[in-house]
Amino acid sequence: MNELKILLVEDDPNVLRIYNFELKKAGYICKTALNGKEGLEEAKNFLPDFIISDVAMPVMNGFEFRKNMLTDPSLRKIPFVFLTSNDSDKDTLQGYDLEIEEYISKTLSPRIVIAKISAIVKSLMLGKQNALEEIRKSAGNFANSVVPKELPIFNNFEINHWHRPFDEVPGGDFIDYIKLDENNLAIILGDVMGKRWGAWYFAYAYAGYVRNAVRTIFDSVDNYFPSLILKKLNETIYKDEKIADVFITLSVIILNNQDMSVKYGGAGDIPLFIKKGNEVLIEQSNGMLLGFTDGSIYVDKEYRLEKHDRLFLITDGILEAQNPGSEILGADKLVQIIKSVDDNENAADVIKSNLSDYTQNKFTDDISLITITVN
Amino acid sequence: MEAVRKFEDYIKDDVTVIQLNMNQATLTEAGRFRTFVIDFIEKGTSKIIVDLRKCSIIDSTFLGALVFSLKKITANNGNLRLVFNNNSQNNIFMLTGINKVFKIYPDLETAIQSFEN
Repeated sequence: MNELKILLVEDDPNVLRIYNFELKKAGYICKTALNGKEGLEEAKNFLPDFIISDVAMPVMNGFEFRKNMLTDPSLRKIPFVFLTSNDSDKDTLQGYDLEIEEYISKTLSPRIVIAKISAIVKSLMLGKQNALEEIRKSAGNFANSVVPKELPIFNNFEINHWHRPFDEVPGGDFIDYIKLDENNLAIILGDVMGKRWGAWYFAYAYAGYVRNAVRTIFDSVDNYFPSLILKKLNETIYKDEKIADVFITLSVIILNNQDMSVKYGGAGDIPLFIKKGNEVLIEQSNGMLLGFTDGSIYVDKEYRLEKHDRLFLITDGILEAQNPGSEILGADKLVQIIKSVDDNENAADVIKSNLSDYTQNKFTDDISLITITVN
Repeated sequence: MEAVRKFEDYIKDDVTVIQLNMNQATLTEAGRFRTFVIDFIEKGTSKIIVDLRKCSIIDSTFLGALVFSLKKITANNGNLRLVFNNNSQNNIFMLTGINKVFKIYPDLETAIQSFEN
């Protein structure tokens, strides 16, 4: 109940003062407006959790105010209560089906009105919590499908990952390891732009899409190139109306343990970080976001690897991680952390521990990191 | 005290300018911003400039909203361009190369002029 924002729209300054006082006493953050027009402006800026409005007001009355709120997609869902002066007000308004939570009579004492409002707020919150619980339960099953439980075993390389979904609910990140043959391993890291409920659903669908593309293309060729996957995916996604408006960033690397090479391609992704000795290279893929335009060009980058070299694939959750002072980690700080990893240390653990310190364990996004060490 | 609107829009030289008056353009505002811009696009606005100069942090969710808007407006034969100080190599725009998708200008006048060419 704490920190809930309530907008109170009422033209009588005495009534306004009393309700404002009682609402604040009850622990709400309260803003006021003297008519529907002001109420509309205030609602857009304040984005209240709840609105209480009088009916008869100058300039714009409660009825017009409510109608305007209903036409704005970002405002229509805010729970709304009318303060009615009499029964005939209530009857008239009900006739218009304005999707109101409740009509509360002004003749009741303010304390009782506030108590009624608190009861409505509480039941709305409870309803929301139950819905969240249900989604969390079913989302939990998806989490297992978008990040592999087991790490791949691949000669000459040690592969590790750290995935921490935002708020314990799977977000938009997905990871996949696909063994192409004895000598080649494909590693995929994707991130659905957008968060929470929508993103995890798409992550699951996209992971399947990508896996399919990799298998289909690489089944029929002798040479494996990330650009082939990206090109194919781009064409398919661009044409598919259902998903063309959901953007994902994708990093694709192919490790070869015979010639000790890595091929890298990406689409709108965070660059590949390569640690060679004391140097850290930041390699941008320059690939266009998938599905954005037809005929986007994807270029492969290839590197020869030596013992103790390390590769890092990350999504933006790490770069955008914030400390208590709201400063983001950024690429420079990440490079420092990577440089500090010793040859005998577990790179994923080092980054994990640094990041947990930096953010004081408060994350605002999915965290995904894949580390590859040359043995 | 009147609150400053987070998104302010005005027309200059036939171009709709959407000015963001906030320091952080992130997940919290991305959804609303997208709805706000799409509204203009659906009403037929074909020239939009988003002024991001006051934003020191733009996260990938917000970026997604910008990309979505760009795609929508170009499908309607319009264009959406950005005014932004793209100096820091650190930022998400540059790191992911998504800046290539947008035409980005350092000031409003140049951005508006770009629509005349």
